[in-house]
Amino acid sequence: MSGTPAIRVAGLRFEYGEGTRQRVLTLDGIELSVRRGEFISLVGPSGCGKSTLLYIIGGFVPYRVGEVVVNGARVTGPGKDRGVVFQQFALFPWKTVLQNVLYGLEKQRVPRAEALDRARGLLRTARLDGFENHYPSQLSGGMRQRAAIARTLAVEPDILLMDEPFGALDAQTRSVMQEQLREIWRSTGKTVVFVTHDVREAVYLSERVVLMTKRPGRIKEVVDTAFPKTGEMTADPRFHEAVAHIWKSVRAEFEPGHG
Amino acid sequence: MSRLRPLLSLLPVLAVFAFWEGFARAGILSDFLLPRFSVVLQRIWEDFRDGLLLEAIGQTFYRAVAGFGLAALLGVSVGVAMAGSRAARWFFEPVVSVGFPTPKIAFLPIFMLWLGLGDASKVAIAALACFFIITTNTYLGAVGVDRHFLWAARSLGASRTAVLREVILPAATPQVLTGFQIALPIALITTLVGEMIMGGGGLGGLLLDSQRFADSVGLFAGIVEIAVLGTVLIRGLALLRRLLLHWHAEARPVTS
Amino acid sequence: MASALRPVWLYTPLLLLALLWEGISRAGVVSAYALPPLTNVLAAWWSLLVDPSFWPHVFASLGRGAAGLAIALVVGVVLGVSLAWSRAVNMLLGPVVQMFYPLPKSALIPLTIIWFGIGDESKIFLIFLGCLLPIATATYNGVRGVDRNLLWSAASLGAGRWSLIRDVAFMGAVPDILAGLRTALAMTFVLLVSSELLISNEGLGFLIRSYGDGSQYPQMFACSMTVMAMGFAADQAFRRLAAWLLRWRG
Repeated sequence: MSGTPAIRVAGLRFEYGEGTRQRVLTLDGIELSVRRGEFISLVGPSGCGKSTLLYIIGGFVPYRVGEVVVNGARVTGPGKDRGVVFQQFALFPWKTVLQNVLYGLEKQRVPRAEALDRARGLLRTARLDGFENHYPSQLSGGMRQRAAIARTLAVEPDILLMDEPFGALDAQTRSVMQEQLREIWRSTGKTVVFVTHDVREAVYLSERVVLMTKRPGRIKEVVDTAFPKTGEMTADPRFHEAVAHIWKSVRAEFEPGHG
Repeated sequence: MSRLRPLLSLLPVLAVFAFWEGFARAGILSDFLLPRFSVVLQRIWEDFRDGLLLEAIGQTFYRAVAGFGLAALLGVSVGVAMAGSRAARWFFEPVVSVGFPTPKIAFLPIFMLWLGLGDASKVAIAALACFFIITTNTYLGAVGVDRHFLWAARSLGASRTAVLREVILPAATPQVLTGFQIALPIALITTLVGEMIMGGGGLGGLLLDSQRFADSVGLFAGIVEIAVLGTVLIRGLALLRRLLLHWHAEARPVTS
Repeated sequence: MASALRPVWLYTPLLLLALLWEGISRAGVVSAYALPPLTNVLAAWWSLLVDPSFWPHVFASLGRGAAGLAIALVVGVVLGVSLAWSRAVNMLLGPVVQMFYPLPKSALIPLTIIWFGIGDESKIFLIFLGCLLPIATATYNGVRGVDRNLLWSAASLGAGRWSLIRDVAFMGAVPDILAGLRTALAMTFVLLVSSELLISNEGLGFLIRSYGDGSQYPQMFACSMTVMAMGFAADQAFRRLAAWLLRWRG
């Protein structure tokens, strides 16, 4: 089992607005394999379909051409093996922080006492104890995203699918959250697919960075970034080389006559 | 294809009428409780041929639109005054906050007492029913105008009346029109009630006669006629909104 | 200005109007027959309130309104959610809703009387019909406006079809449903009073009409004011309830 990849995408092609006159070829010839426990980032110009790819893996967007396999099973819909974190948090605004974290556990029919235990434990780890009965509207952006991540972790998914999760946060909160995410990844060994347009963030967090072309999105290059990291502000030359290389490659996508 | 589209949008309407006809023919309800659509349509045609229908539509239209127009005139004036003057706001705010949510129709017998059973009381009750809606929306639209916009106009040398005419009113127009769109159906509802209670013709009067004489075909004919009038008025106002706001969008920056 | 006096200052305009009413009636500017002095109306109001035969009319009106509105709320929410959620329901019922929407619902008063007689049923059915579409369309718009990511989050946390509808689509539409309900509440009073004025043997509208026909104008004014006070109180209570239900909006 540990030999099979966590995620395998083969020959995936996707047209947005299928069946209508304004079809747009969004993804073409996507081949991707993600190891169990690996952290990869998808990077590319806006509109390159990186989020669409993430949502196809999540099972939210149905596809026709190609194959997407998660844990050995073809993706036909969302499942609790894949947890999702969105840029705009997507917490249920009418539920308190605790109720949000409990939601998935209730759907899994976890006994009430155990669910409460687990939810409270996660909130403590997310440093949200004391805010259990607050509504999302009463929290800062960083706290909301920590609550959203706690809600996702509560159902113990093998795979985390994250769509620019720190895109709506200010710079300081963002770097704190990056640290915490790395810590979660290291301690739980989850597989993470992370969409971002921040190249430094991608290089810092992930073991491999997948670079996509502008529409139609194809995989242009996969950059190995699995060297040890001490922080985004590191002096490690490998870090800066990788960032510079990926930047150049992304910028090339904006030049006329390309792709 | 694009020429067929208006016809295609009529299909559901035809389907509803076909269903009505079929359901009535199936005989689950008696012809009295639910007459066939074809019979009702025939009655509408007869009413039209006799001139009865146009006269009634004319009366109801006149009363509803007169009441609505009166309310629009007064409501926009009061709303703008409230936005522009502290004294007006002081006086009208409690009046509006009490008047807005209360059921104005309960005033109808009082208007009948004051103004008699003719057009005046019907127009007045329709106007009262619309007034607070239009006032509130005008006021909200006018106070919602971006402050910087007013300062800019004043600093460019616009007088107070020029600011009102050239800045506040145009900027408040979308919300004023929203108020109109809520109020016009209310005017129609109220006018019909007035006609049903006082008589004096109109579509409401026809409806009441049909009920008195247990003429269910006439009743359904009246409902269809009223539905058509309601649709025409609502569509007309929506069209007016598109025309006006189209013109405004070109003539001024959007602030709301 | 002292803060204790502020509410008094705020409501001075209403007091002025009341004084004006009393004044022009007492001074004989208009006949006391057409406009009984406010004090006479208040006296008539008080004697109505202490008269045990008055209250059954109040409860009859309240019961009809509450029943019609409650049925419309349940059916309207179910209809609105179905229209937004199911393409088949939308194709089947959407056109009916669109055709029915612009009909001024007071036109249905005589029809409900022919169908159900002059008692409670016709009023309840009328109010149900009048409130159904404001609630259904508000619900429809609310469900259509629910953030897609909320639905996806719930689905990935293990929510099934019914959970998605109940926990996310419906809950997300609650603010819109409440807005539609406020419109429906106003419509309830309009249709209730209209139908009772037109033909009835019980209820506040019936009382207004009877006192008017009997030329007992202070009593007629008092009943009209009772209806207005009830409408106002219902709206205030509703706004409190809505604010509490939407406290999560922060």
